[in-house]
Amino acid sequence: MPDIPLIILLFSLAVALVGVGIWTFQLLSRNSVCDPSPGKGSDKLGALYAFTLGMLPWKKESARLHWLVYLRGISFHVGIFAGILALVLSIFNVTNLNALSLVLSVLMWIGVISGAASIVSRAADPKLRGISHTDDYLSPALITLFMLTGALHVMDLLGTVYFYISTSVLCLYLPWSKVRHCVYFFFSRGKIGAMMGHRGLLMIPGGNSRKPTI
Amino acid sequence: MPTVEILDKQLTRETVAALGGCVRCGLCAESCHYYVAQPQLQNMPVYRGEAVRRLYRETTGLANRLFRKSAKTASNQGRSLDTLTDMAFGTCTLCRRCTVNCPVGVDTASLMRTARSIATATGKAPEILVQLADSAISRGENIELYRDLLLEQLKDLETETRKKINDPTFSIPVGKKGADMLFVGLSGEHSIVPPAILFHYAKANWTFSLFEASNYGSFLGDTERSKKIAQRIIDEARELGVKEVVIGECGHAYTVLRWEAPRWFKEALPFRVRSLIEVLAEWVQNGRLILNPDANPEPVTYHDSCNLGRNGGLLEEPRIVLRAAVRDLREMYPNREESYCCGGGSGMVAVSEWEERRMLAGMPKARQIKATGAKIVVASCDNCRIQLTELNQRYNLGIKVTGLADLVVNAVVNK
Repeated sequence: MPDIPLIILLFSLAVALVGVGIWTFQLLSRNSVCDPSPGKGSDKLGALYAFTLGMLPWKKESARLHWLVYLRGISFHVGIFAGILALVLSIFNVTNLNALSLVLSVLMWIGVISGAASIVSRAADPKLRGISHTDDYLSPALITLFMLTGALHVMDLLGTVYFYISTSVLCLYLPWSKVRHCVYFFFSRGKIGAMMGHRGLLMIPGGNSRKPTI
Repeated sequence: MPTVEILDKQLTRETVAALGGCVRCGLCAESCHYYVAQPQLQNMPVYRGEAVRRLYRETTGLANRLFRKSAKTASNQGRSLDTLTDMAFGTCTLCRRCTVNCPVGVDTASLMRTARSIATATGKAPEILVQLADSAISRGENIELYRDLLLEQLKDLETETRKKINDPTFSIPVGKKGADMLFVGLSGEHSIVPPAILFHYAKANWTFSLFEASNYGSFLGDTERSKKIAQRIIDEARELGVKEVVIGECGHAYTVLRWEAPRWFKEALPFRVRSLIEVLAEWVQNGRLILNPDANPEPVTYHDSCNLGRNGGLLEEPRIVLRAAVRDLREMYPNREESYCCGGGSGMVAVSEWEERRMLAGMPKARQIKATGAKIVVASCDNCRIQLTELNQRYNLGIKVTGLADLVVNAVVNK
């Protein structure tokens, strides 16, 4: 007898992949700005910096001022990756990984808390509410549900079917969601990093400002 | 041409990524000097970006059209092009502070530049900026009409300066073929005389440009106008066969010719482009100019112009010069690539009806300056100088605003 939840899941994953493909096409179908100016620094080092040292919380004022939001964002995304790994292990029926299961469930639980906190704080802050779309609530809610069912599944407290259903719903919604930033993030950050590297910025030992006075 | 089509023509890979990458986390808010001065929803960079995103969604597929209907966004409030124009020209100085603070790397400044392009293409850009850009283009097309007037003005400046520095050999060369550098200044004595004195002291083989460095086309987000304005200087430099073009103390003019023009023309320029600041830093370091810091004993702070610093990469060069030229250099915090915009950039100082919001947006910078206790603020950008001078009056800062070259002239030992 065919495994219906698995078939639905695989179909949903295909839909999500088509979404990712469309976003990528939308991006790549446009011309990129080439920069023939002689550089003051290195584009490659700039891009590398953007994805490494530039990601450190003390390198950005926005992260320094909102370190809790920064940590929440990091733990949310780590939880997502743990959920994806749990899903892959489940699809391939890999079991008896007690230590890994424990780690994955802990990471997903932290992700769940972070996701729920982000929804609540968005709803509670008038300014954030003012800039928010429906999707700004729906996307983190579906992802949080995905991590929640994943965590319960890994802990053997919930059947595979629920994990697959929540994943399928998320995947079917994905092409319309702000999850598209997963594609644009790499391009935007890489490009800005390369530009700043090219212009001789960001490579200053010790960074820049230290103590805000206003 | 409909707005949506104009937008579609403007879209590059970079702008598509900026449009699609925002997750509306709101972390950009405090990076904007408008928001710091007035913490309101409308002053959040993400709010401005959403206005452009709404236009973009109209250009994409069915899914986005459906989604747009369910969106309860700030962008809904900014539907009219008039509002978008006001946002792009009157509430954003394209300083890119939000860009460097965005966790995703969303370049909201590039979206605002796109909005400026749309406003300019639809005839909604501030008239004064259009006039200034067109007047620069006209000057380039009719340089013979202006040449004699310029030479006359320079002669007057030469006479006065000879007396001032007590050196009858001082001169400002124009159209000198075979010169090493073509210096492109701004209008006004303050932008011409101090560099000319320093070139004279350093025995540089230089010549003065017939054109001003300003490029108001870039403020309009109008690449065609920008190219025409830049082309005048490129042609002049080619004709004279100079090795490099040196831009005076002007933020946007440096960024335009150094970084933007090669992108517009899709090729590297056939000469080196440097700022006067870089030239001075080199001369201070190699001993061609020897400075005595005791000549400038008062406490000095340096304002990082957004175009020179965060957008142009000149963060340490001015400090190299200042450490040699002044006795007491104090930093504002944050500084360098995290420096706050003074609020006068990207054409703001030219539009008189925005004076009040410009003064308000300059509040964070005024507080920074006050906190240093400095008596002299150095700004190597003319728009910043104008804005800081007005901030000084508005917020009673008790400072003197000056250019870098002025302090160096005071401090030169090997005259």
